[in-house]
Formats: sequence, structure tokens, C-alpha cells
Amino acid sequence: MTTRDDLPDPLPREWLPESPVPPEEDAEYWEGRVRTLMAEATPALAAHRTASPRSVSWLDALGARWRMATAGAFALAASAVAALVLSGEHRGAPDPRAMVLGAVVGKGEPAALWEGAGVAADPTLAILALENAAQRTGGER
Amino acid sequence: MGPSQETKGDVEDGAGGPPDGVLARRVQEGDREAFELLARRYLRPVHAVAASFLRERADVEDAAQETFLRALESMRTFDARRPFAPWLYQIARNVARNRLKWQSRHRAASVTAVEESVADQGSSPASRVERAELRKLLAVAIDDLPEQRRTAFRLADVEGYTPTEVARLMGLTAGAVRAHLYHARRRLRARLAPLLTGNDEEDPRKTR
Repeated sequence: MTTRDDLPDPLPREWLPESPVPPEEDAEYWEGRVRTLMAEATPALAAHRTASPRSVSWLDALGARWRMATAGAFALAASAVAALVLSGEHRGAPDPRAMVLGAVVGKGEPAALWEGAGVAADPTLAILALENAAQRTGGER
Repeated sequence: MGPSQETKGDVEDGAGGPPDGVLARRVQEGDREAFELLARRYLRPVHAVAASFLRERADVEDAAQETFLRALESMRTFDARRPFAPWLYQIARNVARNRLKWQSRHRAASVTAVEESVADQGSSPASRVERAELRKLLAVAIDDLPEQRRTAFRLADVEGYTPTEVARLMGLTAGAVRAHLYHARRRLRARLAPLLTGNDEEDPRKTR
């Protein structure tokens, strides 16, 4: 009554209802079904071709967009950090000549000191003095 | 995938053509040939699934065609790394079930009505249970099986697919399919038993 894997024997095939599905061997029928289906599917297939020139699932597409957005964000952040670092370095090591020129023109510290001591302001001496001062400051840092 | 042909059930592994996942990816690009290959591979199984819900061939054909067109529409949402057959099976099942709901108001007979008409035909099982009536009763009893059990039973015992093929299509293990078959056959035999007692020739337990 039972098969080796304990399945009860099938009911006699002649008792079972007729299947409305033709057998696989009915090649003509199935060929006709395929033709009908392909005709109906043509617009949808064309839509797939125009909408998606490159084959990706929506998950893949989302992943790719996410990766692109992440890479862009990283690049932007790196640029901002680099700009900050460079501007910080510029502030930390100002051009001594620019400082000297500014100090001399504006009668800043060296000029005021020399004037107080009765010495005429000398741009060359001012440059040397401020370069020394800048080097000392950089060395301490 | 064909009835009783285990090798054809292995096409997803590349034994009988490109694997389903490769074809599905190509269909996502609008590849007509890939869609046709999938259609040829699954057209009959999808018809068989529809036939586990619907009786008329025209209804089964319409449901199968709708299944493939819906699958094509939804192909972008399909993850090609997942098994294709159970995904298609779920679409077929939903399409056929919706059609059945629409038709259910016009269902011709209930099990009880058929049992009564069969029982009233005479005292001898041989005369009482004409083959046509038996098949009618059995068809209704099959319809009354739980959905997954009915589908597994119809695919295996009516359409001729092996439990392995049924499992691959339905996304179940072969063991689960065998369990469905076990319970379905037992239940159907139990339903037929009162009509067949006293007639050894007709006793299904002795036929095979």
C-alpha cells in the first residue's frame, strides 16, 4: 500500500480529473501558446529596452547610486578639509615680507621702536628683524 | 521543466540552457530571446499551477498568459540572485486565485451535493459509483484540499511532475512536497472509502 518512502500509492489515474493542460508532447499547442505570449509581451519588452539600456535590478541601481553619492560626498569633504589645512598653514606661516611691508607702511612695531630710539626706519633691517622673529616663532611651534 | 523528467528540472543549474537568473537579468534589459526561453521553460508548469485553481482550459490559458505578462512588468523588482521559479509560481498563484474568487459565485457543486447524488444511485458500489460520478466527486474533494496541498497533489498526481520538480517550482523542500502528497492521498482515500466499501475491485487501496 505504501511506497518505500511511506507515501501512499497514488489514486488510479483514471479516477483523477482530466487536466485542462495539454501534455508536453503536444508541441503544436505549446508553440502556439509561446507565439501568443510573445506577441502580447512585445510592448513590455520594448519598454524594458528603452527604460534600461544597462541591465541592473533596482537594488543594484540603488546601490550604484548610493556608491556614487558616497564617493562624491567623500571627495567634497576631502576638498573642504584640504582647503582648511592649507589656509591654516598659510595663517601659521605668513609671508614675512608682506608683514614687514605692512608694518613699515602702517608704522607698526619695528618702525615705532626705531623712531622711538631715534633711528630712521629701514625697510631692509625691518625685513631681517621680522624674518628672524618669524623663524623663532616657527621653531617654538 | 517537464513531467517526470528530473533532468529538465535542473535547468537553473545550467544543465538545459542558461540558468534562470542569467535569463532574468537579460529580460530586465528587454532581451526578447531570454524571455522566450523562460516562457518555453515555464509555460507548462505555470499552466499546471493555474489548473490547480481553475477548471476550464480557456481560464487556465488566460491565467498563464497574465502570469507571464505580470512577471514581465515586475521584472525590475526581481532580484536575479533569488530563485526564479518560486517567484513566478507566486505570481501564477495570485493570478489564478483572483480569477477563482471571481468565479466562485458560479461554482456548480459542493462536495455534499455530489456525495448525495452519488449515494442515491443504488445499493451496489459498482452501480452506485459510476466512474464519471467518482471522478466528479474526487475533483470536488481535491478542490477542498488546503491550497498548497492541492497544488502539490495536482502538480504531482494529475500533471505528472516529480516531487523534486514540484518542490523547485513551489519553493519548498522535496520533503515538504512528499508530506503534502502523503496527507492529500490519505484524505482523498478516506473521502472515497464510504462509497467503495464492499467492492474489492474498486478499492483504490488495492488498485495500485
